[in-house]
Amino acid sequence: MRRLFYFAGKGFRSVRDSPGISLLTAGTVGATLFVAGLYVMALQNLEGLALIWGRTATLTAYIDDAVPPEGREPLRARLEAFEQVEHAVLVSPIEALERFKARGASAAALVEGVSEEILPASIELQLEGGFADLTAVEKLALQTRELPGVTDVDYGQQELERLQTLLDLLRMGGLIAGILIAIATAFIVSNTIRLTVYARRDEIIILRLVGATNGFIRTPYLFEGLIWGLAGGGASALMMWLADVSLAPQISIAVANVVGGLNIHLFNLEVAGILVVAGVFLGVFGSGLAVGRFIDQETS
Amino acid sequence: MIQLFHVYKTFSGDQQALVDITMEIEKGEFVYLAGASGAGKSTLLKLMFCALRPTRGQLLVNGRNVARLGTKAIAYLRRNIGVVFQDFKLLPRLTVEENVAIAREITGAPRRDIRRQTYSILKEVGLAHKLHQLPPRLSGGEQQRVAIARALVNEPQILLADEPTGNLDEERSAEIMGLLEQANNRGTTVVVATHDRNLLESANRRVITLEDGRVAER
Repeated sequence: MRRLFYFAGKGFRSVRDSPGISLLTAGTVGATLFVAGLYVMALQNLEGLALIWGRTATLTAYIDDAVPPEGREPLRARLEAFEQVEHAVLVSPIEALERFKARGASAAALVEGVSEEILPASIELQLEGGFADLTAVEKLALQTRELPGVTDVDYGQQELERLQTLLDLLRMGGLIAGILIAIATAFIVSNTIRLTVYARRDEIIILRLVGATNGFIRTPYLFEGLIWGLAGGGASALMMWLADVSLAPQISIAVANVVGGLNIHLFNLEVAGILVVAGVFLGVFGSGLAVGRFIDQETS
Repeated sequence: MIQLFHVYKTFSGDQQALVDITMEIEKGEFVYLAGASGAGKSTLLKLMFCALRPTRGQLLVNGRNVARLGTKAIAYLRRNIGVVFQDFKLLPRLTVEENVAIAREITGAPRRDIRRQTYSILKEVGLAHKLHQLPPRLSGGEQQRVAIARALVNEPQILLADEPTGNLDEERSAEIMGLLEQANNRGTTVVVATHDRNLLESANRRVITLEDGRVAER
């Protein structure tokens, strides 16, 4: 424990004695993690968008014209009996036409003078939990389509699938970007720390001369890396919070016309925690790498 | 204490720094390594404190074959070997006390002991009043005394000095040699590399002369 305090003290002292290098390293870690954090939050917001879309979406089952009006209600009751269905609403051809006309003057003009029963009757299904589970929705759509009297089923599958594909791509991209960012940051941090190590090469040489083990030489640098990482990770979390406070409400208002009810967030505690932990990891790893390389060079 | 058997040291480009060196330095002995610049004195000292490894041959320090020692074992061996250089090798940003204490800190000694031992050795070399000074503010002789204090603070069995008086005038040189004699009187084996003829002539000690990497005279 005494040794730990000794190493921590040396680490703090080094940071204090080299404010320029410390700021540069912590700044590099912070800026890189901030970019990574923004990416993660963008992904989370898109997932939120998918959820909202899913909740508001309905599955529509179109009824065969051959089914008489009195046969539609039993079909609706049957669909409402499905486990995932919260409630089912019958839409008559007249209501469907009214809705179509309500879309605007040009839509109304398009159906001017046509038969009131031009559009098919349908049943709109509101699902419990929305469309969060796309596979379950697809299964329900298949079951519905197979029912006698149902001609077709529509749940905006193409749009949902596109969104799902986009999210999958972003998640995969995020993973690859995350790995690349981690490697790049570790490399940048390691090179920045190498400057510090190089500036203190005399100290390392003298420590070796008087009999210091590699562990003794390395450990204060690891503490130094930990401090830089903690500062950088903390700074990135702080920048995320500032962005959340100052930018997120404006972005939410800007996108409200496209997606109502979507609250953009650029900060949450989980991501902040991950950024700090990642910062510490990068600082310690980068530092260990830099001093390790120097020690290896000196030993060989 | 230090034994060399047919030791060779060759650097890249087939430059032979040491050729077939066989010698033995007894425990408690005071030995001078003499020779012109480039004769191989510094290389020999570097082999003795394991900064270099022999290309061929056997080197035993305190009964241990240095060629077979790992990095950690070498570090522990060096705690028993004090080294003094012509250019002092002090850290300019650390105080005199910190420069000396560094050699104790690596052993994990308690802070209070480190302070006591550091003060004691600095008092011995006559620098107790300059504990908190930075090396650049000291004279050459004082800086070398700090370096000797650092080399001796762990009470090593061996003290190696590479041209310790090379940058000093006659009076300061005598002071430094006096400190090395004192250490030797306490039982430390001392090996001093020098090309200073006056020093060699005034000291009644064994002299091993190197010439072009070979032992010319012992």
